[in-house]
This record gives sequence, C-alpha cells and structure tokens, in this order.
Amino acid sequence: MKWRFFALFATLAFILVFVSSIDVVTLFHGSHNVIDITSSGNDINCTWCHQWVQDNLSNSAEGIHADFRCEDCHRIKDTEIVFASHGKSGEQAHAAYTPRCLDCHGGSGKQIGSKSAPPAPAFNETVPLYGSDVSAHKPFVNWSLGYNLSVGENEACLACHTNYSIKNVFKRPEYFDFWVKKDLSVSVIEIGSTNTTNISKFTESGAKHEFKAINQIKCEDCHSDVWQAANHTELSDLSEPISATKASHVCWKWHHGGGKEGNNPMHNVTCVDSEYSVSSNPSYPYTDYYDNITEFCSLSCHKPVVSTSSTAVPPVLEANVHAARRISCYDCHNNTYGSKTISDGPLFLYVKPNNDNETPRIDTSTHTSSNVYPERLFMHAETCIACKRAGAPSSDKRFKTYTEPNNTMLSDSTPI
Amino acid sequence: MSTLKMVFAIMAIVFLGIVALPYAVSLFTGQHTWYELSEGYGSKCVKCHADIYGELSAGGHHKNIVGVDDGEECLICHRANESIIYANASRSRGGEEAHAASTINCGYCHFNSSNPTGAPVAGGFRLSDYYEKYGNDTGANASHYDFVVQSRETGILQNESESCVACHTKANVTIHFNVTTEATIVANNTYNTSHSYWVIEDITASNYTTYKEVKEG
Repeated sequence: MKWRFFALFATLAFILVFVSSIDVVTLFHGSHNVIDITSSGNDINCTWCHQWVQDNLSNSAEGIHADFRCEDCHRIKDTEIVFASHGKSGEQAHAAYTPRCLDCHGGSGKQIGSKSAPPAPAFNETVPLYGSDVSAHKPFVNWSLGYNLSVGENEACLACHTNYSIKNVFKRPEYFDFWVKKDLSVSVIEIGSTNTTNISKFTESGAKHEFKAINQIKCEDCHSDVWQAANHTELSDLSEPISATKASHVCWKWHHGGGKEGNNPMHNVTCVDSEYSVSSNPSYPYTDYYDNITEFCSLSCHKPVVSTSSTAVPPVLEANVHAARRISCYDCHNNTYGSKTISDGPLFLYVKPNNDNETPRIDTSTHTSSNVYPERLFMHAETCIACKRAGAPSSDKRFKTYTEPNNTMLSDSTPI
Repeated sequence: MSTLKMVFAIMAIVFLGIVALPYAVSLFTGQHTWYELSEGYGSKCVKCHADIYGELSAGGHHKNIVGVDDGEECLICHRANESIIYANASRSRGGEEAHAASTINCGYCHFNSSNPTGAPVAGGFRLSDYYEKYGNDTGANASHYDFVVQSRETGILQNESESCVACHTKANVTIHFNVTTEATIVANNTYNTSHSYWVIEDITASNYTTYKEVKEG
C-alpha cells in the first residue's frame, strides 16, 4: 500500500515539473522564424513546396530542362517583369511567374547560363504572329491563346512537347458527296454532318514538366485516325489499267503500266517500317524505308525535304513552318511545279526510300489545279484520291468519300 | 519499507521541493507581486511566449527590431495596428479593441509603404499601396497570386498571412497540389463556301492527380 502511494506521489511530481517547465505551444511552430532574404537573388527554396515539379523535370527525356534552376524559367532574366528581391518590392510578380514557352523559345531564342534555348521555328516569328499560315498547327497555337488552362499559347506547346496527356476530339464532316466532271471541274453536292473521332495521347504521368525529345513526338499519337485511313495497301477492285490502293489520305500506285510502274514510294505506306504498318515490303526496288510513321508523314507530304537546286519550289514548301505543312496535293502536282526530274534538279531530296524524285504532274491540257483550288482545302485530296481509286475515269463521276478514320470511297454508289 | 522504496520516496520529495520550495506555498505563486508597467511590456510577453521569442531571435528578420533584445519588439507587430486602442498604463488607458496585444496580418506593414517601421513593401500581388501610388505593383504575372488572395478566406491567420508564413518562415507546411494531367481538346474542321479550317472549340483540363508536399522548417 505504501509503495503504491509513493509511486503515485512521484508520478504527480514529475507531471507537475514537466508542465511547469515548458513554454506555451504556438499555433504554428516556426511561423515567427523568418527566413533571411537579404541576398540579391531568391533565398526561398522553391522545392520546399514544389519538389514534385523538380521530380517531373528530372524525368524529362535527354535531360531537357532538368538541369535548370527554378529561377531560370520562373524568374527569368531580361524580361520586363520586376520580381521581389532584396531592395526590390516586386511589381508584375512577387516570387515567380508562369512563363510562356515562347519567352525563351520565341524570337532568336535565349541564352540561359551556359545553355541556349533554341527558337521554335515559325512560331517564334511575330510578323505575322506565329509565322506562315502554312504551318499546320498554327491555328492550334492561335486558338490556345483564348484558353486559360495555361498562360499564353502554352497549351499547344505542352500538348506535343511534354507528357501531358491529351484527349483529342476531332470533328469532321462525315463524308463529301461531289461530282468530278470531264473537264475536271468539281461540284460539291453535299457535305455530311459532323462526325466525331476521339484520340487519346495518354502517358502514365501526364506531367507537364516532363519534356519529350523531338524524336519522341509522334504524329500518330494525336492523328492515328489519319494513319488508320491511310494504312491500306489492298488494291482497289478495279479492272481499269490504272488502279490504286484503298489508302485514304494518300495516293500511290495509281500509274499502273507504262514505263513507270507508278509505285512512287514517296507516298507509299508499305514503305513505312513501323509496328503499326503492314511492314516494309522487300520486293520493292528501294533501298531504304521510312523508319516510322512520323517520318513518313513528314517526308512524304507534310514536311518534305526540298531541293535547293530545283529551279522552282512551290511556295508552300518554301515557307518556314514548325512541325508540319498544311498542304494540298495540287501544291506540288500542278503544271508549274510538277514533273521535276533528277535531271532538272529534283524537287525533293533525301525522300525515303527511293531515288526517284520525280513529282508527277497533273494533265496539262485539261486537268489544272485552278479547277480545284477554289474548293475548300479538305476537298483537294478527296478529288485526287477518289479519281485515282476509280481508275482515272474519263467520264463524269459522282464520288462519295468518307473522312478519317474511314477510308471508304464510293464511285456512283459503288465501293472503290 | 524496503530500502529501494525509501530512496525513491526521498528522491520524489527532494524533486518536488526543488520546484515548489523557492516560492511561498500558495496556489499561484507570485500572484500578489505586481509588475511595474512603466518598465515596458516586452519581457512580460516573453514570460509566456518564449518560444515565439526564440523563433524571432533565430530568424533572419524581425529580431532586434527596436535595437534591444528584451522582448520589447513584440509590440512592434502586436501593437502596430493604429486603429486599435490598447491598454496603456502611462496614459491611464484601459484599452478598448484590445488589451495587451492584437494579432496582425503581414500585409498591415508589408503592403503599406507608410508603415511606421519602414518595413519593405511586398509588391507583385497588386495588394500594396504602390499600385495606387505609382501603378507599378500590378501583380499581373504573379504565380502565387491565387494562393495569396484565397488564403484570405481560410481564417487560420489574419488576411493573407497564411501564404506569407508558408514561404517566408520555417513553419511546417503540408500542401496537396491538385494537378491536371490531361486536357481535352475539341477541334472542328469547319468550312465556308471556299475554305475549310480548323477551329479549336474547347480546351479543358481533366484527370487530376494530387502531389503531396511537406515543407519542414
């Protein structure tokens, strides 16, 4: 009994001493311990709160932006923004601002310490803003200005250049119903109602600070519907000597017979060596193949390499663009620029996988691009491809062509 | 009683004696000994808030703000609000809105270029009087603008002080960043009688993920 009494007594004594010896506990411990900010730069470590951003950056391909300090981008020098620092109160921003990608990649680029930010071709231009209208993605950049998911036009940059996931919802007319007359004039009967295609460019992290290497940016990530329509090597079921594949969007093997087999590999999807492709066909007499779908999209049409020795280059191929060109078949295959041969100076250089750089031109007597140019751009390829798939008939033909990802085409209601 | 118990009891009594004996045996020792208020208040603040005073002394700013190191600097902030009538013995004033002290928001001084201590103005949020005076505190590009402004609505500290304390002090902060990992982009290939062109009809953020950050002071 006495032992219990002493134990209780001792315990109370310890509690009394403990309680009386400590200070009042503050609500926020450390809230009065103010960090010294007397240096000329930023004294507050951004990663105290934004470590996740640094972690994302460290996952960037090829270390893009990974070795930058936070301040290199978010307290960028040589801007009109005055940040808070010792002796400066801050004007447009206090600790940091959210940069537009073009703050560094616009104009002539920017030197950041020992590293240089290269200018983003075409989009770095200001007159006209974002450069030539031939840039296929210029509308995307332009329109993104109107959305506040990020500052400026960054939505467009992030969509391609980072692991930020994108759900693309493409709306197109479902089909085009039109006549191609003997004089090769085009007369549109009906444009179908809107068809919607969903394409997801998904990455596990979805991180906007994880940057991709240029060679990791794949056209088909966002435009797999186009590839789906194009990737058809089966021949049209025609008896005419001039035949084509059922590939929509691209046109090849249309010139059957004669001195040239017409297997112009420039637009030939069978020359794409890709996990998605029908695979390269070794029976073709070409020594090289498109390495992947993106290379095919670029070199075969949307950003071909143009000969500088060629006597004339179509204006759309001279324009400085960013990733791809918004282009019509008739831009190259017309009376002025077609039939460029090696002896003339090839129109295209280094176009995989062939050495035949001839650009077939349309018929000079009746088939002129001026017949089609007044049409909407989305009609241009439809007229070419439908006509070739129908065997280049000489009579009036009514076509109905479906849009991506559908490759269906009808000639006078008959599938071709 | 065993020897062990005896030793333990003696230790407890001695320990209690060390704590209690120096004072008179009363429920609240010293309660009848009155401070001379004309000597200042600072040391009295420290009596209970020594931990805060310890933080101030260890920090990079706000210490020795009045040139002495006796706790009087507590009043610089906690009696700074000139609209409040505090208790003041030398003026025979009992205090109205506050007695000894009031809590204060950081912006009371740091958004006011006429503050009595010459505290530097925190610009870049369009919250200081520099915007009215000179038009240069626009805050147009401030990344943390929303944090500052929305922290006014939390009520944990006064006004926007939560955001100030988060960055400028060694207070522990746990932040859950709710971050979009996906955007939905609606593109319409529209047309008129002579042209077709792409229109971006919508860009919306979706598929959020949460990053937890713990800033330890």
